[in-house]
Amino acid sequence: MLKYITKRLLLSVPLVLGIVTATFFMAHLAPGDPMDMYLEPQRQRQVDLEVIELLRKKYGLDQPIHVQYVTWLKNVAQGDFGESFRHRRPVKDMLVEAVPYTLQLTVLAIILDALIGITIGIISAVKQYSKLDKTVTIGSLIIYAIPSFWLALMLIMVFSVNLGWFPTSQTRSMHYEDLTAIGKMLDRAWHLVLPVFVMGIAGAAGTARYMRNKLLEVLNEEYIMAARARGFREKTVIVKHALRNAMIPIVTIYGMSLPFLLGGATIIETIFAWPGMGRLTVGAVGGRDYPIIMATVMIAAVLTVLGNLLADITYAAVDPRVSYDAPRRR
Amino acid sequence: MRPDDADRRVRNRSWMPGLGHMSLGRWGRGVRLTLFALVVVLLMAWRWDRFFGAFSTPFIDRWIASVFLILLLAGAVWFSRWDVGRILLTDGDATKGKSPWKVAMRRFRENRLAVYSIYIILFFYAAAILAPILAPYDPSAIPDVMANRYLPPSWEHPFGTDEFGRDLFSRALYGARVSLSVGILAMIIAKTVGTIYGAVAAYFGGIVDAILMRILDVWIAFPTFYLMLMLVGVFEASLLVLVLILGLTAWPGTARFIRGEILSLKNQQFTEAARAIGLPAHQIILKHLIPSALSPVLVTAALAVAGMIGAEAGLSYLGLGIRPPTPSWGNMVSAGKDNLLNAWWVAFFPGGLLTLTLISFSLSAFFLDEGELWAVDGISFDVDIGETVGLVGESGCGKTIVAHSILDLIPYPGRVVSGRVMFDGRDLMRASPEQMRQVRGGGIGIVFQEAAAALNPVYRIGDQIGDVLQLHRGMNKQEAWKETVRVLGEMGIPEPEKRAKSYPFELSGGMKQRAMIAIAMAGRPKLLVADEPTTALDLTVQAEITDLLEHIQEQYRMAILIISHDLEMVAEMSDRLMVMYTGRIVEMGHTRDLLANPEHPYTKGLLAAIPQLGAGSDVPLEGIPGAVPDLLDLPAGCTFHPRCPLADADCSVEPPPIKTVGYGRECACYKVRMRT
Repeated sequence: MLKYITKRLLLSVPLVLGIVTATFFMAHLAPGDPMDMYLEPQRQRQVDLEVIELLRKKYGLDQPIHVQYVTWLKNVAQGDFGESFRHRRPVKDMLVEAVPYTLQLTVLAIILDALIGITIGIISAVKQYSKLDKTVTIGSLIIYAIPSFWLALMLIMVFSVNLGWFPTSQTRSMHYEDLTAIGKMLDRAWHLVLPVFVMGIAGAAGTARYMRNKLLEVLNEEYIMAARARGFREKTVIVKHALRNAMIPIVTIYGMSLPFLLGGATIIETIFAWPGMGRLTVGAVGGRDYPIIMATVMIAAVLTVLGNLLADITYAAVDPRVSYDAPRRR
Repeated sequence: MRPDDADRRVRNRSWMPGLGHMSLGRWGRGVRLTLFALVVVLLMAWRWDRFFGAFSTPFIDRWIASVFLILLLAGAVWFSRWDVGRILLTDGDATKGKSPWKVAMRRFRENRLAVYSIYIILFFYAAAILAPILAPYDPSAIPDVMANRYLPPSWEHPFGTDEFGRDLFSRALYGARVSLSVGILAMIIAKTVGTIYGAVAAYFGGIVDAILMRILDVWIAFPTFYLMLMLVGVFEASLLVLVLILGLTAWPGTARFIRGEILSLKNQQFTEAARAIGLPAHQIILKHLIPSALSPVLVTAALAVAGMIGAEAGLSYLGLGIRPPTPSWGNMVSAGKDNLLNAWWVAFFPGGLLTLTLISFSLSAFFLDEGELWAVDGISFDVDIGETVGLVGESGCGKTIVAHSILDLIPYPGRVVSGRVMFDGRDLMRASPEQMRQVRGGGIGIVFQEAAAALNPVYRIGDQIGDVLQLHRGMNKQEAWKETVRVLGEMGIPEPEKRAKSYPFELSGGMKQRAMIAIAMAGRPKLLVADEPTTALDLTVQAEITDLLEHIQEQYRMAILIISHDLEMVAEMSDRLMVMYTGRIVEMGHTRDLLANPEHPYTKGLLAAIPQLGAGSDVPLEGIPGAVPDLLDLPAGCTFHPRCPLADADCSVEPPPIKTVGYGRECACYKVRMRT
């Protein structure tokens, strides 16, 4: 097992290198002078050419591109993503601040997603062709298709603006500091309800469909008929023989949600003014804040690679058919 | 057939869309066609100045809208005439036909949700193209702001007005143009790039494939929306750039899929044939490979368009895609997000249209599965204690269904409509689920065709046997394990302790089959049903398995029903033999007698196909002409008559009943008389 993990880790090194390289060159594809981006936030101010030259030197922009690339590689390897053009702060600090907020949201959303999605998926597969199954299938298709920003806005409209049950945005109330410890917790939870619901329900719709299809696939396998032929109870057949096999691909799906966990949801975070990774990225794109964009996009990609790795390792751990020494090629 | 001049009159009438259909009594389609044409004409008349005036303006989009209206009318006339002609020619029998395209269309039409979705999509696209004609107001002109600001929906402004007093209905129509065209264009780019990339990688293989796939791996690692965000940040987003960005971030999925498809197609015969004639590489790819892999790509195209429209809307909502004042559904929703309390309509309507579009796309891509119908009919046989009965027939004649029916294992939607399965004096078809479970695995054991598929891959062999022992023989865990090892040994598996701890995938084919038999035997059944027990195995292993079956039968004195297409194997093992054809038993008798004197023409044909078992040198060595008919489309009367050398007119009326024709011999054929 250890050998397998090491091997997979080593194999992903060139991939990560490719991601870092691609990010760098995509950002430098930008037409025009990077200095323009740097100065854009305060274009109103007249800046001396001398100052610009100085800044250019400071950020190494006077160097040829391959030298810049190598410098960037070195810095990234040390966890240094440079300084935000706009906020004039190290990108790393900003990321460290944003991640916990994103995690609150995404962990809860994934739990909701799994609870609802897997349960509904199983029920509708076991009761295939029933009214319930049809409703679930079409319902999940519809929910999955609704654009999240519109769903979020409509929920805000109904539950926050009109009914006043939940806050419209932010992570905490204005009077947060005056609350007791329990009051603070409740206030936080209260602010989490709507964003978590929107994120979780969309995920659950996808999970339910996936779970249903996987379980149906397994239920059509001959070994399920064979299990019935041995006289087991239907419950035993489904729980012991079918679910165990159907859960394997589901588990790996959650392994692959790693980039979502840390990368957050750009649109939902923006709508709910949630100070996480997603909103950081959107803000940076709007303000052309290159160091932040490069950092978040790159991190999201690296997390995808790690997520796939995690998924494969979970796969190897739960499925006896996968041997650790000969990795599958998909 | 109608007389010719009547036909001509109908044809002439069909110049008026729908009129021809109505005079043929096809009211539904006729009324719909007429209404459609009427709406188009009314639209032209209602907006005559815009419709006609467009041709004196230099704006290409207004031209397109007017030309589109004309095309709609022309299309209605053409379709009306073409369809009437088709009905007259075929007498309206258009629903028949078995080409894959027609089957797909029929299945699609049966799914009403999918049909409505397509209508909605077409309607939206038509509305988008016709926006310059339909829109009551100029989408960008700002009238008297103070007087028109935030007007709620009314007849004058169906969707209300926004903060600048612009008519939201008109803006939504123009927004549809942006959103829908971005979706289609980006999808086309993504699919084209992906298809070419995947095809090139797969066709050239080797180093080219390796490099291209590594690049793809890197590209795929970037989460799509993040990649879009980054590119939108890097490039100033005009409409064209946005389309390119969306298309170029979404292609890797297609590339991977196409590569996989082509790799599997590549080794098929037609590619080799094409290469043998000396066609150059790109021609082989374009002419042979892409069309065969293309249809699944097109099926996913609808979903891809939805994805693109959604992504554009998301970006525009964030202010990073289409920017105001150009309307797009995404930025229109965004414009309403801060005034949900006082002007809910600003965000509601554009978002609602967007949602409806996305839902329609995903529903239209959602096909219902085709239901299957199996037919096994009029089968009656018995198996006595200690006896081996064989059931033979060509593949696809329903043998396996018989095996599964005995234990009521037919998967939904199939079911046993009528009949009895008597076991130990009890009708299994009427047994309670509880009783049935006792019989399954306990009274009757079943050996499946493919051990590899019938063994649960995630449980060890020993556990799978142990479960049966605990269930049917009331053993506890330790006893069950001991017995498991003993049974495995009895089945001729070397090192049974070790093998019991193995997972199915760790065993060879023959071992798996032995393990299967061990599971079936674990409950000490009185009847063992063996469905093609040796088909998937090597010749030498086949012999071992038949020996094993004979051995355990002697030991436990049970009955065996052995089912196979392999006449030789079955003949060797069985005491009595049944021959099955298209779901019916056509002949049965004692094995030796039946082989020596086959009565039914089908049995004769089967035997003639096997030289060493042939009844005599006077029977010429040949197969049966023709193929087993489709069970969904059986010939009338005796189902064998199209292939039968003895058949005459009587044979195609009623299916022959099975009747006794000799000692222990039954046969279902009009041409076979009682032996004397």
